[in-house]
Amino acid sequence: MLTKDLLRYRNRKERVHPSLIDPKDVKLLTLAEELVESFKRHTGRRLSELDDEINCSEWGQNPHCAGLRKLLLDRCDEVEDDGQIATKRSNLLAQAEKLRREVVFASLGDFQAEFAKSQSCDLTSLQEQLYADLPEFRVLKEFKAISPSALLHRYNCAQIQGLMMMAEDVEIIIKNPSLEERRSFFRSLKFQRLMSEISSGEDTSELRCKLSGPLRIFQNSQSYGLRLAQFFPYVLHLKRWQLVASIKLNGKYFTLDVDQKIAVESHYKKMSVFVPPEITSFIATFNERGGKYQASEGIEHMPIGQQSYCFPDVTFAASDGTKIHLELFHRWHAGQLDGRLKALDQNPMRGLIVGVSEDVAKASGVSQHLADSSWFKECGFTFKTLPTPKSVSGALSRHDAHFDK
Amino acid sequence: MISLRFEAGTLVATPPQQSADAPWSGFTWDQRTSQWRAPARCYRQLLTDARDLGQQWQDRARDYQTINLNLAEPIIPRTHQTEALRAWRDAGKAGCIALPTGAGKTITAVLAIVMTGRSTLVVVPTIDLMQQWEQVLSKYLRAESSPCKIGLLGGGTHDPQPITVATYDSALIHIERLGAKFGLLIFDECHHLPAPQYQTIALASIAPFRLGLSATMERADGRESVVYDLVGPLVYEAKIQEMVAKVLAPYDVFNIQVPMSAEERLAYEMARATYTSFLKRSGIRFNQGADWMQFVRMAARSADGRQAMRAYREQKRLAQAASGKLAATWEILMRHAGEQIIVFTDDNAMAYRIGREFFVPVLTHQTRPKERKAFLDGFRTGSISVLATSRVLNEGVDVPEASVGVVLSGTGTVREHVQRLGRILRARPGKRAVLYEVIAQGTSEYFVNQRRRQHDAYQGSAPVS
Repeated sequence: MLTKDLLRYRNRKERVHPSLIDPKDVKLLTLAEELVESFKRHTGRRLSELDDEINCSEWGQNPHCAGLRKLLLDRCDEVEDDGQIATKRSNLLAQAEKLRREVVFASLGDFQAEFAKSQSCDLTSLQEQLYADLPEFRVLKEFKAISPSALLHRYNCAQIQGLMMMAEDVEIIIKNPSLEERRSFFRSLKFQRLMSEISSGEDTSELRCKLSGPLRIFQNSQSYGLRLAQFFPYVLHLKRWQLVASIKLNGKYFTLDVDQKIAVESHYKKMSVFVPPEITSFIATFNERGGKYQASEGIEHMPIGQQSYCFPDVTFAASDGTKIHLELFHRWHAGQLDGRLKALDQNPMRGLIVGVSEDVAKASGVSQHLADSSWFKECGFTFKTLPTPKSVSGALSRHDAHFDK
Repeated sequence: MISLRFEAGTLVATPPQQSADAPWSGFTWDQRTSQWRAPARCYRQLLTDARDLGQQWQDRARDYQTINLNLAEPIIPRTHQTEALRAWRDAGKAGCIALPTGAGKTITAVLAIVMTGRSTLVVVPTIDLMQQWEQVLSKYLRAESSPCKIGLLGGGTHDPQPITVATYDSALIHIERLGAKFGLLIFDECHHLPAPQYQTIALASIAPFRLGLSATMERADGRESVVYDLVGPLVYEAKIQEMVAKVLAPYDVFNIQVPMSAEERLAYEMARATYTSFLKRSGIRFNQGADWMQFVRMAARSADGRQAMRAYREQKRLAQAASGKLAATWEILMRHAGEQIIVFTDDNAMAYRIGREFFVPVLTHQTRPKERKAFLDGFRTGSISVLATSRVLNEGVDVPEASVGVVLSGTGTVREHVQRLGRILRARPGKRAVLYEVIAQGTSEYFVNQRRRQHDAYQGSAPVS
């Protein structure tokens, strides 16, 4: 990320406008390419030499150069110090100490001359060697290359992330989010230990999320700025979004308002959601049987309390509008089962049934938990590889009977 | 029955029914999770209120232990330490103690930990201080009859234990998880706490017992009130002058003005003229604290302004690094040969310049931990007699044998200079400490120096030479 001094923005009428660059600008692409090449060339050489080259070049005078350089530095590994310089320093310092104690010198120059003589070395070399392991002398070991275009996108993203570090209130509006988008969004929120207050705006296809941390309702501070900044690249994965944040700059508040039109590409990997073809096949078989419910692929997310959301695999809808969602737990997301059962035992929820694959159900710890869970007895079932229409129908009936008591 | 649990730096009351009134004061209805929520710091107040009102409740929040702590070797507290501890205990074990450097803040804290007998988190500003606290706590604390393992958070170590020392930065990262695990919270150099981020450490912890330690509580921005709110009131304060002759060494402060070379003077005057003419044109007079921010803002808006900012930095650099300071420092080193001397600078560049010219060890934040320890150990045992440093030794780090301080450059803040003075005041029979302030003649450093000298620590010190 970028430090505060490398952020470029304008304040106008209580709004802050990040000065984003055009990632297709030929001059900037050339600058990015020159910088990347310069870093590649300096692998195995001192970082101070790299800085000298950048500072002396014509392209190094570009106002965006310092920020781009910082982002590239974050992609570098330095050669680890083997401690030889420190050992040599320790010896030199001990001998200089000894000389100062033994002889009274009239001037600093006399001391330096005598010390250099005692080391059989010229003074300048000695002085250069003494602290030769400071950061400016460190050697670039490895540089993770990046394409010029990706670097410019990363720069734009970092400009907004830098402002988000100073954010207090953040609202994200997601328009027509797909299940996949919602699933990754909430998963990423949880990963960054952020909380959200979700509402639907006047337009019901919108999902409005106010983001903050647990203490935010008591503290007007920027404590969650880093997490919000780290979360922002996930937002860039959404198709249609708007982010409105209150940013505190030099004691004053400004509004940051950006949306998908900034066209910044995220450098985070996109977490895709795999929907197995077996689910589609199950839905077709279930619907062929007829009955009270018609099955369809799950597209809604359900808040189940305490900032947890369930993303059903299948939704069953009755003609009277009743909906029951089915969430399946296979081996690969068995880790979430424990938390889900705890939440549902504490707060039994109408409209949800759960299927657990038998290999998960037999695992030590899980079998006991399933046996102890009063909610699972009423609204849960186990299955071998895929749930059968029969087992699901049974669970749907038990669910209805339980809640209609 | 209402039950209370700790969740990510907050307290949550369950069952979570929304009602007109909060279950206890301090709680707010959290729309995000449909729960009553309060900052974890409210825990102490909740305990008191519940007890006073005879309320029944289930405490699932508390995760800290009562520990039977005792001292591995006896400590005979000095009078001021006994008074400070008594005042802290009488304030309900929640409050701040201000003692000058060298007056035994750490030992006072050890006694407070034993007195409280709860899991304790000590929060310190630097890795050096973290290591130093670990050594002292390991030396003195015993749990039951076994040595007490001291946990560390920071500097690449993550090992929380019932008694743990953490840097402010690491405590901030982990407090949402660990905030219920400590019953006593000690903030060393607690004047750091008002920084917006650091306040979270105090807010997100349930610790009912809190102790703030500092040499100087007062802050230029007056925000020491934040510390009193989060930790507790100032319950005991002793100033340098009161402690001199009792527990601190007597001292003299000498002011040495050195001329600049002709070249330095010319460059200085040119840079100064560029800077001051911009101030004049912009109507900035530096009468109030806000004027500096006004200068920063205006400087960013125009090419003239940016030039003025560069000129400001240049004239400051030239004054702080005037070549005459090297000769003056050499004279001081020779005058005090055989004594332990610390040379203070404002920035790393000047500290390393001193290191290279005099061939002395330099301690900055860039110094690796192993080498830091070697330098400090060498300085303690006397094998190293001169240390150059920028700011890392300003506060806290225990440097018992220093008797001479040379300030080559610094800020105008009283805190920095009182702290630097504190580095050389640890008492030893027959010791008389000396602080030299070396300033470039006819530069803005003179006014900075005059501003500092208004503090009571300077009253009665030796006249300007």
